Amino acid sequence: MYQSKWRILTNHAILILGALFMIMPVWIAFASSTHTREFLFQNGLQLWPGGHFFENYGAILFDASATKGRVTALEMLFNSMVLGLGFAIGKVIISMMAAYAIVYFRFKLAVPLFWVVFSTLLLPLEVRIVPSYEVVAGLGLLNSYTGLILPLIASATGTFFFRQFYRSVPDELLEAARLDGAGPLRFFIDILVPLSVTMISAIFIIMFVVGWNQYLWPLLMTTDDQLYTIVIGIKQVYNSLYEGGQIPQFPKAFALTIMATIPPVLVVVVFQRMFVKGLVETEK
Amino acid sequence: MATVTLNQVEKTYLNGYKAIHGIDLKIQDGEFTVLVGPSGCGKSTLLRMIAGLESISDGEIAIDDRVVNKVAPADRDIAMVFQNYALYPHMSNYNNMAYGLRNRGHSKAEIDAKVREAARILQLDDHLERKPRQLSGGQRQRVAMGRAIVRQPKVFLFDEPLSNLDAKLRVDMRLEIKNLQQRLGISSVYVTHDQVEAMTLADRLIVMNGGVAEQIGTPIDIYEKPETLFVAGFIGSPAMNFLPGKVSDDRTHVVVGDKVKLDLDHVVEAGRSVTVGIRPEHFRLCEDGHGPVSASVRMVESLGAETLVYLDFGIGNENVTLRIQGTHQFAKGTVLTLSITPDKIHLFDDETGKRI
Ligand SMILES: Nc1ncnc2c1ncn2[C@@H]1O[C@H](COP(=O)(O)OP(=O)(O)OP(=O)(O)O)[C@@H](O)[C@H]1O
Ligand SMILES: [Mg+2]
Repeated sequence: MYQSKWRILTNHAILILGALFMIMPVWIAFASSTHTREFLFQNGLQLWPGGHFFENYGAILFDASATKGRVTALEMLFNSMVLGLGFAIGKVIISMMAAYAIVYFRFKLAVPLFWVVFSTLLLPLEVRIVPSYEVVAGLGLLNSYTGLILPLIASATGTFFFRQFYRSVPDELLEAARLDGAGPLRFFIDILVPLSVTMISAIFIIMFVVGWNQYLWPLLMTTDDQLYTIVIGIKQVYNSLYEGGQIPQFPKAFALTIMATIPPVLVVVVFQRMFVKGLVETEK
Repeated sequence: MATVTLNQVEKTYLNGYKAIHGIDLKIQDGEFTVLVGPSGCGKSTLLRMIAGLESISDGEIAIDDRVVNKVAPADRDIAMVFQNYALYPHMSNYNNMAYGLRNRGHSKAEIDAKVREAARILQLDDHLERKPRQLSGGQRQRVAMGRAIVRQPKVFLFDEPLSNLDAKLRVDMRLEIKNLQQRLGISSVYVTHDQVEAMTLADRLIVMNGGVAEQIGTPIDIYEKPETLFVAGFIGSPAMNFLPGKVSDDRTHVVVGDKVKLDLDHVVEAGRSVTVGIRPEHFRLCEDGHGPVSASVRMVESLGAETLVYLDFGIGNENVTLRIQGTHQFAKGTVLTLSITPDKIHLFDDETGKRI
């Protein structure tokens, strides 16, 4: 398509502006996290990095007192990672299996059950958070990874996407597999899962980011500092900014924020490559 | 090697639609049986019932002497080739062929030997490590055939395996399939709606219509002696000409329209109304102008090796097709004189459509 010079210029101008708009806050947070707190307190937010990168990040990563709790950022990152991975992997597995049952097994309640699952989309976690808490507390799972992850891994969205995907897989594939002596389990593992790689990585990316960013649920579930996720950690650090007579810990709060964003970005970057590759290479 | 016996087989789908209305059939050991018929007549349904992919509503299907009504597809010892190949897209062609053997617990060495042998027969040696999507349509079709032959099943089932290929490849693959089947001697059931495939491949042809087998016989039998109007019209291309006629009082000929009289070679009840069927290739041009039929030319189509002439018989607006060897030019309106030998005239009862 022919595009005039002006059009290319304006297109790029808009794109660049948009990109700057998105990146600037992150950049400012990063730049500001590399100064001393006194400097930041006197001079406000910084556009250029200072010389205290290692000092600030080292302190926050390895020294529990820097985060005003009894847990280091490294431990919080680990907790977040467990939550994000458990959440994403759990959701992928559960929703794949649920969709498999709904699409491939003709049992009487398949359709009503699907709609029941689907309608839970209308009930986000926030709506059912109190009863969920009750259940988890009753099971004695407060302050445990299991309690943190298990109540969240049922996924209507995931089930729906996998259902749509399975329905688009030609029936002949199932029939060929049946003739080849593959039972339901073999068909699932040998045929359906490899065909779903694209779908799996897409849902995994989305769910990992959602899981990583969970705030309300971990906040309720974890009273023990040792189980804090990094998102909660950020909140704690900001909270403590205003306590006591000291100069606020702005650089460290920014450092924690920056670190909280890195793993989801990595996951998206790594899996997106697989995701695109999957899109290009698999065909049904 | 096996026989397949169908005994009053019926199929009613869950929605109440009755697709197969009772079919009896015995497929001999090593026989190539072709199911042919118009779209929706139940060919695939019947094939899938033999495969075990559809349940059998009534009647019995037996492979050799074992009734397989309740036997799972994998345990029937059959292999099927699908129209769209149904290859596993994520597996290499090697694995596509090996998958069924692996599930049956064959040893690695045995699988390898069988797959390589099949690949050699089908000329796929160089493509084993590739994925199906990296092959042409014809090669994919071969992989699908390879998947069927590595298992050395008792019966091959084919559901329109060539209909996704272009015309030339179809001819090649047709010959290849026939060749392969004869070499392996495996009983086969082949579904198609292409009558060239049906005529050339079949040891025995089954013409289906509306869920019943209208006629079962060798292709030549069916071509020469179609039992019903439907079979007569379906087999043969261009299709048989049908003309309304009446048997004369002396019962020696049939009158078509008001002037055309055709001699008969067998005796039929006098005055009976019949449908007269004549194949386009069975008319003979009488160059000397003496013959029982004269008709004017409406249109001519030259195909090179043969010429199709559409004639006005003076009966309604229907064209009558004439097929003659070689190229001929006739101006529109030219009157041609034709004759036809009595044994090439087919008579069908007007009411029942049955051959008289
Ligand atoms: N699952 C089903 N449920 C209900 N009716 C069906 C089902 N599958 C097929 N039919 C009907 O059964 C009839 C026979 O179908 P079938 O697929 O056997 O036809 P076919 O002879 O193979 O036709 P084609 O040449 O188009 O493949 C059709 O009228 C079809 O609509
Ligand atoms: Mg069909």
